[in-house]
Amino acid sequence: MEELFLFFLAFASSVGAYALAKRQGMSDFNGLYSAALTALECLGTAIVFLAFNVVIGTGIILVIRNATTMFVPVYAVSSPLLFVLSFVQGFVFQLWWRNDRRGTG
Amino acid sequence: MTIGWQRVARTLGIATFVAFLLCVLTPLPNLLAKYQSVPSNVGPADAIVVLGAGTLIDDSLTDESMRRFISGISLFKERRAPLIVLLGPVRGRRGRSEAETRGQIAIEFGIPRDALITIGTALTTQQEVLATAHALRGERGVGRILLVTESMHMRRAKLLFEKAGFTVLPVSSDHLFEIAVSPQERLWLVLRLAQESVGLIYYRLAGYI
Repeated sequence: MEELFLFFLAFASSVGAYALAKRQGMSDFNGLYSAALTALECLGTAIVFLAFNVVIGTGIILVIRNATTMFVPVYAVSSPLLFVLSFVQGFVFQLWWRNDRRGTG
Repeated sequence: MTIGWQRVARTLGIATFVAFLLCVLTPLPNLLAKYQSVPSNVGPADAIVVLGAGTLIDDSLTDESMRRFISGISLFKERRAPLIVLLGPVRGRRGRSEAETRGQIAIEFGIPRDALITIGTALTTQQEVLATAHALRGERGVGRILLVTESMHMRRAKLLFEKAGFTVLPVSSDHLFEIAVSPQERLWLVLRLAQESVGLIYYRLAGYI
């Protein structure tokens, strides 16, 4: 039930945003579809960044543990902060690459 | 960037989104977690071993640490074993160890001092096993233990203790795969599953288990 309520909230705010955009003169539904695909690309890029960050982070932690007397828990790489940072990385870089390609293409 | 990357990123994005929906809206993580967990098997033993789960900045026990501790104390009160081992290191560089905090509460709960062993030096599960083996072997001759830890952590911990020569009776401090029903609880379950799967792989590669 809780999840249905959350999806309803997201759906309702999306409908509101769509109505607002239409009032502003944005009526191209294909543009919305294209934006959703771009968001999926950003999500995919974010997952690549997340995997990279986790693998490299784990490697660095294991090296620190073996080469020094310092202890860093491997759990550190599963921090929500790293998830958020990876998602920001994914969105920023994917949008930059897209914009750059559009500019040069 | 080429169209090829765009396609890969889009496919990954769709797969991630579908996986996310499956994880939060279906019992898939619960099924995977059930497979990963080890069923509890309570019986008479020589010692109860309660693994560490962390403290907060004020040295108080985390929820998980308290849950494990209470499970261990309950087993002792049921006279399942004459000895209880409480583990858990110091958070950061100074302060009181989790094991000390647990030990103090255990005494307040009426656990006799001579039935209590606290080990506050082990930082990882592997170190906990080595330190426990060092404390229980030899003079005390403990061979059969009731091992208390989180259900997701149990498989790795049990394999380690078995490799150290103990007969292990697992007692999970939770039933995560049954109680995780809300989206955030299922996401937490997925995270723990991922952490423990990586932990199992690492421990196998390192030859610990």
